[in-house]
Amino acid sequence: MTLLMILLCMTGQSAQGEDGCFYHEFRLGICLFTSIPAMQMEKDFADICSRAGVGYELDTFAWDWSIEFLRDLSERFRIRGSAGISSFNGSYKKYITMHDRAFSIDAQAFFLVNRGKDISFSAGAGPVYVWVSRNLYSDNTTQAGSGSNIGLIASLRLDQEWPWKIGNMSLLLALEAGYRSNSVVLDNEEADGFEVDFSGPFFKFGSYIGL
Amino acid sequence: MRNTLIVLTVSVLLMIGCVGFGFGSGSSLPFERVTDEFDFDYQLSADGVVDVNVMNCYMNNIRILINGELQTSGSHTSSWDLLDEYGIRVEDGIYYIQIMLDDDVIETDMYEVYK
Repeated sequence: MTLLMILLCMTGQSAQGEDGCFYHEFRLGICLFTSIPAMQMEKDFADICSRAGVGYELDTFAWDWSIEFLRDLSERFRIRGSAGISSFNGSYKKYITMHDRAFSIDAQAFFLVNRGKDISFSAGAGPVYVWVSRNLYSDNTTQAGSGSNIGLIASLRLDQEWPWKIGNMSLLLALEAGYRSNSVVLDNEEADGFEVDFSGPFFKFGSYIGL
Repeated sequence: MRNTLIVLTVSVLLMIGCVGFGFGSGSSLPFERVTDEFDFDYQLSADGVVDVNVMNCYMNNIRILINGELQTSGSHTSSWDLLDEYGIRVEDGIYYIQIMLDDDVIETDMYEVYK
């Protein structure tokens, strides 16, 4: 799907913004987002802890931030690349803590469903590469595992061009909601099939400057 | 007499403080810290086939301590020498011992293993 969209971008119209729409700008932004990751095996681990009488608590949400770039390729197509970090935690008081971290790089192609002078609405999809680490700490020990995988991400975006500028730089605000699929099986031998699964719906807020 | 009362009062306050702020012996932890082979007890409510496994923090069985042994109801004791199924000492970390009676998990205990 991404290849198809990129192909469409290459062959698509590359018009200037005669109607005042914001085309052809390279934008750099920072995004904060939250997601509800599946984390089924972490939930199973929490269940075992509970059976052992340890009230281990697992977060519901993962928290993320990313650095992103946006570029309009034509009136109807836009690409987005981003690199981000997600974190998901669990703990039993101060004695046991678990940190799942994901470093992800994704590339998405967006089709602009509706484009106004200041607001645009788009839908996109693309691949995401994710590297995951899991660290379980107790007072005297640390157990660490890691792995990587490629997944998919799909989302809807609403972009709002801000009426003011910072110097010569325009400002764009964005809301995005979507779903990502990026579970990772840890590589280390003792993990043997343990899956850290950041897959789930996400909601993102971002601000971008036009360069 | 007055000094004795002061000493008693201070002692009681210290004890209350220690309990209140968790500066006890550490026995309140719901898991044990072990550095070497240890024994553990378990109770069976009925006669049956018993399996006892050690699992790591990834929920994988790393050692079978008792494999399908017919045992009578009551109190039993077993031990773990901190070795895995290959006879290698396990890495430091969190481990579980799971006791099963007739394929049902009847008890799970957590241990922090370190050198």
